[in-house]
Amino acid sequence: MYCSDPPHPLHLVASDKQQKDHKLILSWKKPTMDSDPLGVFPNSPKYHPYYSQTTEFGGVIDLGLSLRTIQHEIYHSSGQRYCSNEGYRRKWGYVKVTMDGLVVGRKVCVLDHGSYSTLAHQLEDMFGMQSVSGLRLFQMESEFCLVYRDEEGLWRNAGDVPWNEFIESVERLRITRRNDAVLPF
Amino acid sequence: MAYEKVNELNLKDTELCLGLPGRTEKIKEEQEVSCVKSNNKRLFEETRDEEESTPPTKTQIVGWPPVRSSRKNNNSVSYVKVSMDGAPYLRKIDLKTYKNYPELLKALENMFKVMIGEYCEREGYKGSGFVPTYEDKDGDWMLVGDVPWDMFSSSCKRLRIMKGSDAPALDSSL
Repeated sequence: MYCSDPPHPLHLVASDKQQKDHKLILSWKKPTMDSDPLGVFPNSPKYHPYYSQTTEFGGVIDLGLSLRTIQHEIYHSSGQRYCSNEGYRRKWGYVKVTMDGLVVGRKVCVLDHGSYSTLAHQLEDMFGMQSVSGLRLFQMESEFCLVYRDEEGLWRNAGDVPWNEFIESVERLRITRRNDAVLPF
Repeated sequence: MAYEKVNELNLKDTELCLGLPGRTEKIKEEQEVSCVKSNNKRLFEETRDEEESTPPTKTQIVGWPPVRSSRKNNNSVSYVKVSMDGAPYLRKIDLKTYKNYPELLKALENMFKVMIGEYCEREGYKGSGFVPTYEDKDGDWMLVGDVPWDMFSSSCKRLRIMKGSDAPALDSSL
């Protein structure tokens, strides 16, 4: 009974107040907790700091937990960002469109279209002003052709495969001139 | 001579008798002094230990908040550079403070004292003389307004307001 009671108030006092006087009092009281005060008296000053350091170490552990919490948060946010980006790509179906010779690219949603012709119309609206006669994609006499980069990173001519297969594999679009298209990329 | 020697010895013995009590007292005093010194040393050790224990705690406590605050800043703030062709200096804005394209474009107009106009999928700001563009994570310059706001704000790294005549410029201009 007498031995068990002292630790709690001492700990509370230590946690509540951080004055040196109280710590001194604590150091003086702790020897009494031991069975042999005379024998332990010379060593008690050394033992007390270790005990307090242990308590501090416990505090350090708490801070470590806080750090882990932060790490967890960072990991979660990173994962969330990655998922959100991927979600956007899959959900919205937006792909980049660049035209040779232009600095600024555009983005189109391939899922908004049901065929190559409607896509050609949108690209005509976006890039048609760059040429006097317009793009006239997918037409024999046009000087422009549309190529796309598939999921494997290969550049292919748009229009060769059915529309449904095209929208599943297209990752990027590029409007190039026929002469340039002949060159291997 | 023998008597003298005996006398000397006796005197020495006498001296010894006198000296013993004195020596004993000195030894006791030394012991007391050593006890006092040891006590002082113990006190010093206690104070030193206490002094050493408190600073690390404070240092550790101080060390953590900046990390948290910096993380919070990173999560809640998204500053990007904004440049405009012909303007003498760059600006920086926090994309997190805007909720949609109209707010952003309005802020850019106020910042650079220009009229950008409204977005149009077909012409894309054509007619106003200025074209807002952004550099995405891949390093490509794209037109502002084609994709949903959340997608734009999460991938925008930098903004640039080009003049209408520069927008269709060749790659060599960059």
